Amino acid sequence: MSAVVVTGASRGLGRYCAERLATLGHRVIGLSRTASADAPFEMRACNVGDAASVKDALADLRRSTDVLALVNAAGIASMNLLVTTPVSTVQRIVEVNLLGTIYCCQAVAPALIRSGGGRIVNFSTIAVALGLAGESVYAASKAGVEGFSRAFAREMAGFNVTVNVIAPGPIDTELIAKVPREKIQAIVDRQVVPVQATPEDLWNVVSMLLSPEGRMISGQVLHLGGA
Amino acid sequence: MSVELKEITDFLCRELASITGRPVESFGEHSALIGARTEVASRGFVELLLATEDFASERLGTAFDWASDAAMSEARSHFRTVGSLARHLLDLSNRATL
Repeated sequence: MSAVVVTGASRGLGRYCAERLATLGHRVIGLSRTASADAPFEMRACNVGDAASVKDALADLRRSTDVLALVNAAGIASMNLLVTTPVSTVQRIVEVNLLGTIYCCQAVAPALIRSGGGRIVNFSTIAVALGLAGESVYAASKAGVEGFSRAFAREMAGFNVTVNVIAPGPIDTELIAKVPREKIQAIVDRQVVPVQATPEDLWNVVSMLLSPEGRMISGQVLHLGGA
Repeated sequence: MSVELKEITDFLCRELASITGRPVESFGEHSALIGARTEVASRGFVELLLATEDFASERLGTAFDWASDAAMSEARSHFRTVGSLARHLLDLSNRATL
């Protein structure tokens, strides 16, 4: 089976997607800051916010002709008012969430083209559509991912590569583990479908986008739960 | 490994002919690759880069980085013309064999 690169693969939604892909028989290449040894797929250490690190981690894939997809799940957040957010945190969120997505797309795109086509799935958040207070930097970084993906989708369309974004509401992972339950529920209540999504719900959309049936869907931001 | 500028230029012209469907004789060292007078659309340009990456690795024994800082400048980019790209590749090859 073809290879799939998954960023943020050591935990959370990235790990969930990577495990599901591995179960389906794909060669999964997971990237994370520290390559956890317990993963049931190949892990490589990579700081996605560092272009050189991404380039090194994926150098052997560059001329590959058997890559199906890139799933950019790496992400960090810092729920805080902008006026109290350290500059270093602002920079780190933009580096990982926005630049990391761009660097990984740049590194994997040649292999997808050589493979005759493929899929890129980037992750955003409901915080963009709802403009959630306390998440301005996080929302800005993910809004960047959405704008980037829409334009990049057009650049890749001639090569049979689709580029889409999934923007879920809150899903129980470490990313939101410290957010109070009532705050999570308040966001869920603002969704079109006021039910908290599960990792499986997210995987169902990823799986659809990666499938052959997803070939006509590109440049879209899919709001899981509706926003 | 001894590679001459002409071999690289000929390779690039052949690739351009294959990509565009035009005669190889219609391309030369002055054929523009970027800018208003470019000989190829963006899709064809990417195809040329892929082929050039393979050529650089297999024939020149060097890595060809599409996204270097120098590539961004239309005035001094090595993507300006077939000739400038050929000279850049030859330079990469020479450095790789030092």
